Amino acid sequence: MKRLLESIVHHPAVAILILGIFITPFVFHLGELKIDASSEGLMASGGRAFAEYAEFTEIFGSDTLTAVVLREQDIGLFTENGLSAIQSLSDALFEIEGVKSVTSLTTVQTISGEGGFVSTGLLIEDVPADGDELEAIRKKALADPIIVGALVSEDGKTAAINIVTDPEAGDLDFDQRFTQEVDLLIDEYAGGFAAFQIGTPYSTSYFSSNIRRDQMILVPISASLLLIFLFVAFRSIVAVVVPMVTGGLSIATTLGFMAWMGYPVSIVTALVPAILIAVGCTEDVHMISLYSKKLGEGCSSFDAVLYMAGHSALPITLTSFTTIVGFATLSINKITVLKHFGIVSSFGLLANFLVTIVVLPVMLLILPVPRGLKTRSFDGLVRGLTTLATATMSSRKLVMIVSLVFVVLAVIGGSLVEVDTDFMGFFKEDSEIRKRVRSINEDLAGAHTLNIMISTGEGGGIQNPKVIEQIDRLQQFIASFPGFSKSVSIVDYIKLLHQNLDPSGNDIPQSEAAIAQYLLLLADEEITTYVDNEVATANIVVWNTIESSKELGNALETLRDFVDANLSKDLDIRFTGEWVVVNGSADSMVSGQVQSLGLALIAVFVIMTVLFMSVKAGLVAMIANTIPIALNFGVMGWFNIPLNTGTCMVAAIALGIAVDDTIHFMVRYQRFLRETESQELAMKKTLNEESEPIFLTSVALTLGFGALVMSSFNPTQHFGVLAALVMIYALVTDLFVNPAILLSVQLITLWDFLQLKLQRDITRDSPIFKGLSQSEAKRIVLLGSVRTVDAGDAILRQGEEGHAMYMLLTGSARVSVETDGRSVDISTVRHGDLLGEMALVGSGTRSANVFAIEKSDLLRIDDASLDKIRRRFPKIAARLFMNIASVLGERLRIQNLAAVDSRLIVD
Amino acid sequence: MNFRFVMVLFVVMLISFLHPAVSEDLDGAEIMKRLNEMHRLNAEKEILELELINKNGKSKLRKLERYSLRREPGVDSLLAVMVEPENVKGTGVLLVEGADGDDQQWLYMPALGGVKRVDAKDRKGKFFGTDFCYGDFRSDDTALYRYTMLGNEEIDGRICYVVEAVPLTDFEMKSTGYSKRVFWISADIFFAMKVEFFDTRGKLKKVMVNRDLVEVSGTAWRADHMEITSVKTGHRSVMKVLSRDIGGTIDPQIFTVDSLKAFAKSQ
Repeated sequence: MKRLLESIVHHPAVAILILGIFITPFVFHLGELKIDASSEGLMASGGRAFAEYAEFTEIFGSDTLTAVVLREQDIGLFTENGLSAIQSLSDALFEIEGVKSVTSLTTVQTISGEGGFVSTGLLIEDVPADGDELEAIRKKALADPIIVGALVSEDGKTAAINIVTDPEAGDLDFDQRFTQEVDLLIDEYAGGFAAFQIGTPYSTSYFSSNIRRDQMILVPISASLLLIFLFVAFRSIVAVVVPMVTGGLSIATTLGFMAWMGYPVSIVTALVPAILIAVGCTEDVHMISLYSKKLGEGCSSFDAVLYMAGHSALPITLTSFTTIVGFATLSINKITVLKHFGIVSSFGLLANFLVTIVVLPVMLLILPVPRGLKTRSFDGLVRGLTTLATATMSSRKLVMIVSLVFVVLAVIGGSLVEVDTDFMGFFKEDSEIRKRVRSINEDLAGAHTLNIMISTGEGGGIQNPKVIEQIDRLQQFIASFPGFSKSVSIVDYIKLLHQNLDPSGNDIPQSEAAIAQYLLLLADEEITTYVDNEVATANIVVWNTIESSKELGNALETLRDFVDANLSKDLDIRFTGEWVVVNGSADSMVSGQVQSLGLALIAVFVIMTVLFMSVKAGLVAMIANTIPIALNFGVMGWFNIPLNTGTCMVAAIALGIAVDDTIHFMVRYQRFLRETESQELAMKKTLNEESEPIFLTSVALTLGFGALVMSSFNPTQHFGVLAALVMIYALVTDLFVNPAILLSVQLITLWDFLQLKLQRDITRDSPIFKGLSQSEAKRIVLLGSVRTVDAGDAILRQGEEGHAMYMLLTGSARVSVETDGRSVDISTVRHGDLLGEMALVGSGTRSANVFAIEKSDLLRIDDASLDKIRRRFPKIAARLFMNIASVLGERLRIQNLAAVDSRLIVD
Repeated sequence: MNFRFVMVLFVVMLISFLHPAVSEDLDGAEIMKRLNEMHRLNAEKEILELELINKNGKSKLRKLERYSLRREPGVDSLLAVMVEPENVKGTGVLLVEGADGDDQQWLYMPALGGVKRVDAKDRKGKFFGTDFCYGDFRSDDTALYRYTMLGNEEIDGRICYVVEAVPLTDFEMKSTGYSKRVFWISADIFFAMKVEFFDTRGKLKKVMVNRDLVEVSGTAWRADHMEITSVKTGHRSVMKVLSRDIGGTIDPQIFTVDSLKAFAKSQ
């Protein structure tokens, strides 16, 4: 990777050409991008609810409803003008493409037994001019249980025209087009009324225009906030132009990719550009930071760019990879829009990574060397943070306790989080759409319907009087339920006919034949909504004013309880409809959320474990990143923010992003750990170096996500606020809690590090581990620390006090003794050999000099560590000291032999 | 050969080729009159299969018997009784036209055991929930309509006169529910191949198509396949003739309320 980035610096033209070949095809598709605001995308594909709805539409057709509500204003409803307007409007509405049926006062059929004749026919065949006739129609309409509430308000002052639409599959523009045509027709025909439309197509096109507005506003705001921040931070126009170019290219490529894949812009994928800007900018910050640091040291621009490319290659690849993984985990979601979001955003981040590594260095090479880059604006703040973080290192216990308290509070809060996709709750209280919904809920039965499918499993089964009676009981229960304003089923028709044809009889006909014969009198086309062709399945249409998935879930549960307790088990009763499926997806959302989060955590764990070659390191990274997520859910719980399509993404995304800084932090810490002898010192150094980029990226991300507050959608706003907050939690966790955790856990990577360095089983290799098992040797090693020395560096100095022994892990060293100002080489030590072991058993004074011949790694074990071993693991200690003694003994034997030899020579 | 003769022959051939049947100069009323007269039968019994096809393409089948009898010119009686499915067997409709225009109509439902009167003036009522109305089975009182010849068109390889029928009285319009009908009448056998029905506000409401034409006696033709489609709902009703008896005699006594009941029970 490092070589790749450096070669980009050496061959900018080639790199740009290759990048161009990658992105151009996508950019060409940009024009085909579509917007989809339909609720279909919010539905979970697959699953039971979806299958049930598909089955429903297969039998009963579409249930996508639009109501045109007409309230008396300049003209009365039951007047010649009023009804004529409704008639003309109904006719005109039917002409719109994709409209399956139009039901209004002027198209609805009624059943009557007037004048001794039984008849079924239109409520209004011709609009009369005569006042008495109009009054008769009014009375008839208000007395008809099927009509009132659905087509006319109880006070007879508001009417509704109900339109069922079923556009061609894949016609994404339908809702927009339909809504516009309806509005035009309302203007043309309903002049005397206060009129408006409400329903799924209107909601989705309203949605759609808000998404467009969001896109137009959010992306520029989010981008400008970041750019201003970058300018302030680096005081250079270069720091503004570079991210602008990389961000713009990434966004264009990603949107082109969406168009190419045929993914429309939805409420969720609309977030991708803002996210690309925010996340993409963090890489820019890291890279520009390095570049400016090098410039500050007096390097030439080319050298600075080369240094930047070489040194940012690994961390940027790693962090990009983890972020991509974090976002990609969302693609397992069953909810289509979230799946698309997962795929699109991870592609976008990949594109952003590629664009950044090519364009950023090339631009820095081309642009004039910026002067401002050498000074930093947030130095004071960063220093303050660093000092504070360093200071808190000494109160680790306090940090841990405070964190624990927060986590516990967060977990309690998290348990209060409710899953609630309140479709109307997406919009602000005073938005036009919510006004309309309130209005229709007040005057009429509501803006949407749910369906209760009752299957008997046998042809003609619905004609059984017992079944009719059961449906009737269910409808009576529904009538008593607050959220359900009205229900209509085939039973209402049968009861009406029965009243007219057999007024003396019971409420419900008592023979199957009677019911079958009544059905024969009803226009087949009229009853297709209520009973299937085989008369095996009935459908109760329930008008309701319920808006939130939680409320609907509760209502359906109550219905289900009633059905289980009171109705026959032979009936298969299911609740379905567009509205039910959309809201039912909430469940799927939660499981999707849990899965995504789980996957993201596993990914972090695996990546960190591989990176540090230690399971413990993986665990630490996971814990460090779980804290901000726990806090997120806690805040949601305590502040009553529901889990919905917007907010459910925060955790997985936040994890993907926040882990970047943790990676940078841990990589740096580990490196310092090898260079210094104490963990605390390594931590201090890490904080010193990492505070600035962590601070800058966190602030940048907080601003980027914070810009989403400007969205027209409540879930997007919530997403923005929560994600911004998570970035702050992550900042605090990285700077204050991470050090505490890392310092409390004995680091961890040493053993594996040793294994790697020695490439051989250390227990067989070194005399001091003789007779010890792998795990026993590991206990000893884990108490030591690793020190790296360069060629010529002194490891031990003769005459110095010392209380540690060393084992040479790699490299070699020369042992020499100074006598009378002359240095005599005694021996050369190699890996596995011990040094300075005398200090542990005898006096603390070193008896010889040891200089490294080449760059070498040493394992350092001091007497304090040995003490610990002695106290905790006496058996291991006994063996260890025995080994040390035998090493010493061996050395003594060699020295004696040498002394004898020298004496022989002298003699 | 005489050149002039050849030219005349050619022109005649050309004309006859272009207008093979439109040799007579008929107006709309004349065509309708012929249609009404040529296919008239005195007694007729049919066993019909009725298929109702909803907008989702699902269909259901029913079977019924239909009897009609011409008692005197312009005065018909009609009886239709369901045969299948089992639980609606015997449900019947009786229409008795009065010589003075005072028609009467009854509905019999075996499960209720009673006969209900239906407003016979209202010819808009649906025939057993189908897209056919009771009125669609009755022939026009030609005096109440203005017929206009609109031109010629070809349907199923037959040249047809296109004739528009507009009711002259408001009452006729309201009781049929049609402000206008357009007939496609084949020029060779004067049989209606297709009819378009327009509602009282002049909008196309439904379209009927007749197919599988058979010559049943003399000049009388019948369609073995009648199909009507409601434009608004996309709902279709198809009536297929399973068997037909036109030679036999029908006892006029079956066209009474009492026999409607008895007849239904004997089914």
